[in-house]
Amino acid sequence: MEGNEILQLIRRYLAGDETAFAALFHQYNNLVFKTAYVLLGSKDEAEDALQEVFLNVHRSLASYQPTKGAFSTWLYRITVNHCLSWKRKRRFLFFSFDEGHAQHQRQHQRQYPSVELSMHHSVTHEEQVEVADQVLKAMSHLSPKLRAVVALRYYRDLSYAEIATILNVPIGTVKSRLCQAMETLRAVLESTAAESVAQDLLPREAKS
Amino acid sequence: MKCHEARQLLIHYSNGEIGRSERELLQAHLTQCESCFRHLQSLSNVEQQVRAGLHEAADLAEPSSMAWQELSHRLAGRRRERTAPHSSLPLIWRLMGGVSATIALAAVVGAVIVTPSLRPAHTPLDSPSTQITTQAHAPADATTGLESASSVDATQMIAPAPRKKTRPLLLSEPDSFLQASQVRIEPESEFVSQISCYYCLRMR
Repeated sequence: MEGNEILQLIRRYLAGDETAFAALFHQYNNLVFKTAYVLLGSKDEAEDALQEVFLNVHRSLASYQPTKGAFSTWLYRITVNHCLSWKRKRRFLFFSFDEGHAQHQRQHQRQYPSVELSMHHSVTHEEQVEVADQVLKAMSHLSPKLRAVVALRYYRDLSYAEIATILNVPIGTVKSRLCQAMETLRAVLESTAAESVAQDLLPREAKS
Repeated sequence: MKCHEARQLLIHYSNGEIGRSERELLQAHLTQCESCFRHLQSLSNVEQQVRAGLHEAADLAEPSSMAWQELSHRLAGRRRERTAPHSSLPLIWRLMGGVSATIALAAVVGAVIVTPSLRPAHTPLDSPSTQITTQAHAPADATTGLESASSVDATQMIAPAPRKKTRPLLLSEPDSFLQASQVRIEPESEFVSQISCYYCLRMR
C-alpha cells in the first residue's frame, strides 16, 4: 500500500478525517516499531519510539511533500532521526541490547515452555534466537550512525541512494559508513564464532 | 588495484553498488589476490548473518496491542490542549499575575488568623460604655446576671486577661490592647495585627 492509497489517506487526514490517521498508523506501525527495535535494541524503547514517531507524524504530516519522495522514506527519516537523537541522549548501548536479549529469552520461554520435551521443534527457534542475539550484540559495537546504515541496508534492503536520502548525507558517506560498519561486524562476529567453537570443543576434550 | 583499495570496495561489490569501471578493476584484482577473495567471502558470510539476524530479531519483537489506544489517548489530550483557551499575555505578566494572586491569598489567610486577636481590641473600642455598664449592674440584676455572666464568659474565652484587670481599657493605651489579647498569633501576622490596631486607634 504505497502511492495513491497512502496519498488518499493523507489527504483525508488533512481534510480532518482522523480515521485516515488510524489507517496510516495500522499500516506503518510494524515498520516503524521494528526499525526502531533494530536500531535501539530494546522493545520498551521501540514502543516509546513508535509513540513519538507517530505523534511527530500527526503534527507534521502537512509538511510531507510527495514530490520529494515516498511516504515510507519520509517515515524512515523521522524514525531514524528519533532513534539517533534518543541514542545521543542516553548512551547505555550495551545495557539496551542485553535487555533486548533478556526479552527474547522471556518471550522464548513463553512461547516454548517445554523446550526439553520438544527438542526437534525448538532447535530451529533457538538457533534463530541465537543468531538474532549475536547480531544485535555485534550491532551494539557500532556507533548509532553506523548502525542506522546497516539496519537500513540489511533489514529494510534499501539502496545506497535511498539510505543517503533518509540520512540526508552523500552516497559517499553511506559507502564509507557501511564499509567501516561491516569490517567491525566481521571482526566481532568472527571472534564470537571462534569463542563458541572453543566452548563446544571443551566438553568433547573433557570426555575423551 | 592494490589490496587496501580493493578492501574498500568489496562490500559495495557484494551489494551490487559499484560502478562499472571499479567493478572490472576489482574483478581483475580478485582473480590474482587470494587474500582479498577470502576477505570477500568472509564479508558475504557476515552480510548473510547480519541480514538473517536482523530479520529474526525484528520477527521476534511485535508492537504492543495497546499501542494505538495509547497513541489515540495522547492525541486526544493534545487536541484538548489545542482547543483550550490560553492566555496570550507574555510569560512575565502571567508570572506577575501569579505572584499577586499569591500575595492576595496570603493577605486573606493573614486576615483570618489575625481576626480573633483583634476582637478583644475592637469590642471595648466599639462600645466601651456598654461594657462598663454591664459590669456595673451585673450583681444587682439577677435575671440579667445570667446573660451578663455568659457574655463575660464569652469575652473571657477570647481575651481572659483584660477581664482580670478591673479597670476598662483606655484608648490612649494601644500597647495594652495588644498585651491584653492572649490569643496566640503567628509571628508574621503579629506585625499585621500591630499595624491594624495602630490604624484603628488613629482612626478613632
